[in-house]
Amino acid sequence: MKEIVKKYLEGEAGFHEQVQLLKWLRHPNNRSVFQQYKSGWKKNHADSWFPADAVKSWNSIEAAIVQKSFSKWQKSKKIHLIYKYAAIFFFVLSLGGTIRYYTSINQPPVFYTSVMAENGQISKVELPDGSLVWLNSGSQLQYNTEFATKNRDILLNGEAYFHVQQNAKTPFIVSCNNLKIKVTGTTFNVSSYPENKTVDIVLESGSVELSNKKSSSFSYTMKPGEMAQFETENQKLQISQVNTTRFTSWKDGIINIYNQSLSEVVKRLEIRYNQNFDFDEDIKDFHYTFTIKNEPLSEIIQLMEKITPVKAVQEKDVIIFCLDKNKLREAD
Amino acid sequence: MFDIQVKKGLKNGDPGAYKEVFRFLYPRLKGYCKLFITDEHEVEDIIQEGFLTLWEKRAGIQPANSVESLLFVIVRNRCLNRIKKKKLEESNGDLEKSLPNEIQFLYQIDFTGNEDRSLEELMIESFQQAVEELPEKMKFIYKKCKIEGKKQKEVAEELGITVKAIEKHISKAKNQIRDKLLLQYPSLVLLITFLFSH
Repeated sequence: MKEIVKKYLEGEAGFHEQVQLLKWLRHPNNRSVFQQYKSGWKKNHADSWFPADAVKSWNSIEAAIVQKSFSKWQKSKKIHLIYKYAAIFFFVLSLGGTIRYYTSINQPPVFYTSVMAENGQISKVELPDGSLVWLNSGSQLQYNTEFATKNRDILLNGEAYFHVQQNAKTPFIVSCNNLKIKVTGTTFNVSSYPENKTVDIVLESGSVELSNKKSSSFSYTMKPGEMAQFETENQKLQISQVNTTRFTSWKDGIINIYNQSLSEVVKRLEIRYNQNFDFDEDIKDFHYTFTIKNEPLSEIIQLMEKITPVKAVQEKDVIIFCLDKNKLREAD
Repeated sequence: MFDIQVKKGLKNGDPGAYKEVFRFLYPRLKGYCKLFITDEHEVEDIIQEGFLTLWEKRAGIQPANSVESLLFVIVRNRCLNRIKKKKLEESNGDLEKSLPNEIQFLYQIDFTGNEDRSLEELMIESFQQAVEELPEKMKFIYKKCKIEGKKQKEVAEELGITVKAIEKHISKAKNQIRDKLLLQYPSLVLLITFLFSH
């Protein structure tokens, strides 16, 4: 019977076995034995066990849960009501706070340090706590004088790759938009250029916890190899599996362009080479796949002209891509 | 089957706790659904929706109660609704008695600890309830023609109205029953009674 119970629990029992099990279970005395078999079976299954045909199903449930959690952040009038009460509550508290403030005024004021990477540059920064940050072109990060002593809070604008020092006592928190990324020690990449509509986080190793500044009721813990895309406008979060090197290789000066449209490619070139581009509307949907290591811009442009029938012309300090009709004719 | 820690995780909406419950219950929930629903995709949908319902109603989860039976009731009600819908599409509003699938009692004992009414009975009950809730005259005509099996002409003569009027009543009744049955979303009601009764 134990064997049949096992088969039943794993969804492998056939019709006759299920009938047999039912008959057996109709004797109340057998039910406690059944419970024993059940908990024994559960214990025998390691943490990693997962029913083979259920992975896809679970993935969609998890995705839906994550989606629902994050979309809840923005809505609900009830929350506004809570804010109202909270405001009153904090007003009362602040009366007490002013008194405390006068007694603590002797402490040194808090200053902010900010680090920037100009367009066309990648900066590598060592933070006071020993964590390393690679700042991508056109990005900025800020932290205060209490960093590494009282907090490890960082404000990020743009893209950065983090290698965070282990310190479970003071979590390392990156804020961008309303998203809070909390880590204790790990490597991950955050991309939050203001012109993009999403904040993208790619986790290489360790674990990070995402939460919303506006609401403390939800958090999502990322696993290595995952990319989280947070839509800043409607506060939704999407999780997907990615090849992380595609998103983190920029720190070594490598840019991977994988099936991206001309308009996206141009954006990345602008940041990397500090050069303004423009392009004709009718070619914006040409797609490219290539990798840039340390090649000069001229080589990249030649490459693009080879892949697609486009031509680059310089007008003042802007490079303009347009359709090369001669090449189109050759192709015919 | 699941410890307090997991149940607390469910209550807090932690996806890890849901995964834990999912991996141990999925094969059996699937086995149960398959007793009534042949389409694999539909079975998958029901289970996925079931877990999302649990997640949405997580505030009502009580760590002292069994998650197994809670999920079972949620999934059972989803099966019930699918079958109702199918029956209505097939048979134009009449729900005939069908023999209950015996194996479902195995799952009932396993998940809830005892044998309860069969899904088929529940379906007929909700159908009878929908009939009872029809307006008086409509109910009378519907019962006479559809349940007692009398001829429309006989009933028309008995009431002193035309056969056309009878037909109209019956088709209206069918629509009302259909709306009632499909609107009826028992999962929430049963969920609440369940939480209070155990």
